[in-house]
Amino acid sequence: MARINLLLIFLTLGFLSACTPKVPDQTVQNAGEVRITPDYIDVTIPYNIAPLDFRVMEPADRIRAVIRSEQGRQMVLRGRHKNIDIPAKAWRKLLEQNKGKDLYIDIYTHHDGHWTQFRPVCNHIAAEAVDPWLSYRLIEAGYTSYGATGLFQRNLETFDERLVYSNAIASDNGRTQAVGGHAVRQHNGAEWLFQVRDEDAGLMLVNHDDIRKIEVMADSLGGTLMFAAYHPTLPLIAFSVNHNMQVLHSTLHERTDIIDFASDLVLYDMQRQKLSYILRTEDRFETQPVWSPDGAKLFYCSAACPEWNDSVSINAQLNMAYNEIRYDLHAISYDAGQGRFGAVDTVFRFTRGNVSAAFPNLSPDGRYMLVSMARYGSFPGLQHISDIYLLDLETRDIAPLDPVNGNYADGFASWSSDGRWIVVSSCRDDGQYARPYIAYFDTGGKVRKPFLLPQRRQMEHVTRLASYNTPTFMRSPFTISPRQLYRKISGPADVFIAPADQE
Amino acid sequence: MNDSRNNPSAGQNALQHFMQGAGGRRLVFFLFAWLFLGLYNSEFLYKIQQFNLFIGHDRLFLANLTQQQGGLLVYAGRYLTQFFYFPLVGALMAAALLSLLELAVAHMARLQGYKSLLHFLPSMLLLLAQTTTGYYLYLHWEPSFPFVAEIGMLLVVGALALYRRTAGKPVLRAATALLLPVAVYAVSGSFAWIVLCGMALETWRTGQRSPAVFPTLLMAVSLAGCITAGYRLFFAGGHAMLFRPLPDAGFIEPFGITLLAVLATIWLTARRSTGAALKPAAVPATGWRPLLITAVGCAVTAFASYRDANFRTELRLQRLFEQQAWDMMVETADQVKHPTRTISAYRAMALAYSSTYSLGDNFFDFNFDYLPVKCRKEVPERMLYFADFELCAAVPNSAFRWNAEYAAQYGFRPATLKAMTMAALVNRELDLATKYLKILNQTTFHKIWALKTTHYLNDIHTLYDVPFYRDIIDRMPSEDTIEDFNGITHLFSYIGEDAEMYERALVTALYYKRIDTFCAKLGQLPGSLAQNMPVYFQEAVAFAGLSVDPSYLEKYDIPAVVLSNVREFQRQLNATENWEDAKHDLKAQFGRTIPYYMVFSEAADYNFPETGTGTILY
Repeated sequence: MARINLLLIFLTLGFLSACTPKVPDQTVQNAGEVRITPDYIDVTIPYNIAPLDFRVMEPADRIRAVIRSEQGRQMVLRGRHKNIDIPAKAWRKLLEQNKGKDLYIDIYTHHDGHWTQFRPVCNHIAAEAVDPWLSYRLIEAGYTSYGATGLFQRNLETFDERLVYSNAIASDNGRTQAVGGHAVRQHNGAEWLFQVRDEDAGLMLVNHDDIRKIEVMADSLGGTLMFAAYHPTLPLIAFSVNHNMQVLHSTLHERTDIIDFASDLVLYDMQRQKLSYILRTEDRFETQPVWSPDGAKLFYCSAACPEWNDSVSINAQLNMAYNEIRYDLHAISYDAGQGRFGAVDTVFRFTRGNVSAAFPNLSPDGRYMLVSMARYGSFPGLQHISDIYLLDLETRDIAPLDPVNGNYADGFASWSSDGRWIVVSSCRDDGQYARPYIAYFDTGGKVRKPFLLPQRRQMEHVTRLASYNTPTFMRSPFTISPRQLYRKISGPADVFIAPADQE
Repeated sequence: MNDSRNNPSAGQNALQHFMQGAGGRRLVFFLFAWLFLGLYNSEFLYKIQQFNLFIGHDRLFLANLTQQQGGLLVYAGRYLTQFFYFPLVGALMAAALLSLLELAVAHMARLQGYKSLLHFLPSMLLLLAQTTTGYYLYLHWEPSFPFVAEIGMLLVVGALALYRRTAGKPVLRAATALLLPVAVYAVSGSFAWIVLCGMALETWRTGQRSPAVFPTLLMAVSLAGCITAGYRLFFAGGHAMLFRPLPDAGFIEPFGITLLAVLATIWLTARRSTGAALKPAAVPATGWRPLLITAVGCAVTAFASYRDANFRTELRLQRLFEQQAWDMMVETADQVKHPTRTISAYRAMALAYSSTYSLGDNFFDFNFDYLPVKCRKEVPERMLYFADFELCAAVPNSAFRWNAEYAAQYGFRPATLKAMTMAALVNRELDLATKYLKILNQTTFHKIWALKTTHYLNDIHTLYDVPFYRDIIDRMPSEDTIEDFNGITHLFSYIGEDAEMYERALVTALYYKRIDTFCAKLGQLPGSLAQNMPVYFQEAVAFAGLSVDPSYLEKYDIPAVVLSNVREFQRQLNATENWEDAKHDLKAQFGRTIPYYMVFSEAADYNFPETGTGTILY
């Protein structure tokens, strides 16, 4: 009996050792850099990120990958169809044991009867965690149709992606809706808003379990509430009211565009349920507001309005003027005690360089501003040439965020709650579909090479025919279910509001 | 056996015996179903699979299916639908499933004599349900419906046959009543409702209402209801979820009749399950007559199916469009006496791309008195030609890829991805083309196209060697302008440097009866081209000069015969009191001229871009 037991133990051990991949002992050294996709080479990653699964793009019939760092046990992994799938638990443990240290990946490929070892891939594990959640809209890349558009949230520590609300829910129930942009208060998933357009239109304000539907008298506004910014401390939300139009380009590469015909800024007081104008100008467009961390200033983009000529068709006018509409960065002071806005200040005159600024985003310490820059307009994500720039508000220096910018459109960037991480919506991979790239921003104001949001399978970024729009870091997830949202959206509004000076 | 092998007459007898029995009828039905689907409806089947992009191992694709009830059945249906790429192969599978359904019904019902011919009824009705779709195809975004219906019904009949076998065993029957609907629900979603109804009927009819059966049935109903509700019914109007993946409203009549046939079979044959010995039929169903009746049943099915000639022509044109057989498209369209708007639209595309025909010369030589489409359900006609027509527009101009995206929102399809790939290639967006090709490469059959196309990525210049691509590349707009969304007009309205583009713009203006726009665009035409106008354009100028602005006549040299014909046409038109009579008389006298088109053809209902606004006549 004892012999049988011993035999069984040996057999089990033999089986287990056969299943555990081994590091090849006889290899040919290749000093070259191994090609892997996504490009997870020389990147800085947070220690709480989900496994960076990748695919080896070298010719190989067998693949081994060894993931190691200074502390802890190394992982030896076998490639399946050239994919390296990293076990989540061991990955998490290794990263947590090696905060602030380097992470190495040795890659071995077996081809033509011998093993080749490439130069180790070296990445850096940052000492800071990233906010564990990312919210974004997944939208059709041309921004023109919206049947599949939805608001999603993704746990960055795992591969868990959850639907928050989507147009498909409405269409399944015989309604036509468009999920508009969303905004989150201070990176906290408990308080956030998003807009619903078309049928059952309204502004949905969520505060923990409380959902409020606000119906805005769009006619009296002359546009729709679009871009929102929560005041950091007070129950106030600044919005831009935009009346814009989507158009098509006849040539490569800019396919579609969104042109402002009018835009102003309004303030919604959540306590008093009152909407009032912040800026209402005939000769300028004001859009994309963002509060300073102390709430004393509201930054926004502002452009001179072209002179529309009623005797010429709108298409002809647009063709003459659309690429002349360029936005500068302005700010207006706000006195919280008085509840009044003060003087307008030009923060940075982008138009001087014949470029246009869009989607300003302030770092939590208020010193740095991320701005997307394009040739014209306020939708840089639709122009290949657009890039993210970093504006130092102390020194007024501005520079392209070079390691972050790709060959195609980089249309939107935002900060994590601690200011150490930046997420960029970038079309760098194919020129059309924006994906989230995450980059480390160090205390010296330098940014590191970004890495693509990890997916369980690398092909998922290929097969997904949608763009990640306005990705936003969150410290906690949205807790409202799609069901709760649908019920509220399809019901009557809780509040009807119109701008104060028109009441 | 050996006798029949050696003796031809014995073999003949065996064949005759087989054909006169149930086997012969089954063979006839199977062959009919196969050939009716695979040959007569081949374009229809091919079109169905064009809506079906199947990437079986993709996590997002799988998640999309598993999140709906009956996702497993839809997955199987989508998998099999791929085989419609080769219609005869796909049809073979569909016919085999229909024959299996007949076998299952026969096994369950065990009708004797001539009544046994009724075993074919559910299969024939199901075949009818699939082939009466017609134009509703464009509205139905779930391409797996033929196989979903067949496999679903097979599961239902199989489950009911199993339930019937438990007659007289109360405990087993109760357990079956509890488990069967749940099992069927897990695989095929709402088909479980039919199983529940069938079991209830069976129990009621046989009178074997053991104390356990009804509570168990009730439990099963509640359980299935809870599963359904808990799954996705939480949205207020979740009725659509409740019935997934049963075929939707477009098929509800024929499919509903199929269901009724199955349930009626349960009701009528339920007493048999008591275990009573089967009575031999008074008249056994052998001989040629039952075979003839089966054949008649097949013929009736074929006759009752949707056989609209224009619909078939449209599907044929779509296939030819994919093959870029422009001349064949024109020939096919020209053979149609009373075309639909879609046929006209495809003909226009073919004329624009053809090197044999000329858009300007041949466009108006066509019957524009469109025949409305015939469909059991209301189908917005614009949709019918939108998808493919605009996909074509997407190719020459990257801006119009949004149309492809529009199709993508309902589950992107291979044709969409191909058009998007082509658009990316002609615009030299190789990274983007690579992405689309990678997706197509994961499909079973569309990877054939993807593999053929991939070599352009290595040497994009070879694209120019292909006439179709060369034609597009040569005509691509060089000047960047912006316009609002008016898909169809963009195909022709762009004015570029070459004469063909001018021609497209002019024809478009005439097509939409914008005579002012036509004259304005004509004014932009270089002199040499303006003096070499086809007769249709001359008629249009004469018509504009006589009805809108006489100065047009001074600008161009219009032959006297054209001018006098148009003048006479107008005189007679103004003199007429009876519009319908004038329509026939003027056509007989002057032929199908531009003035005739302007006055009598159906007005195009499309919004013209603001840049092209002009006077709409009539």
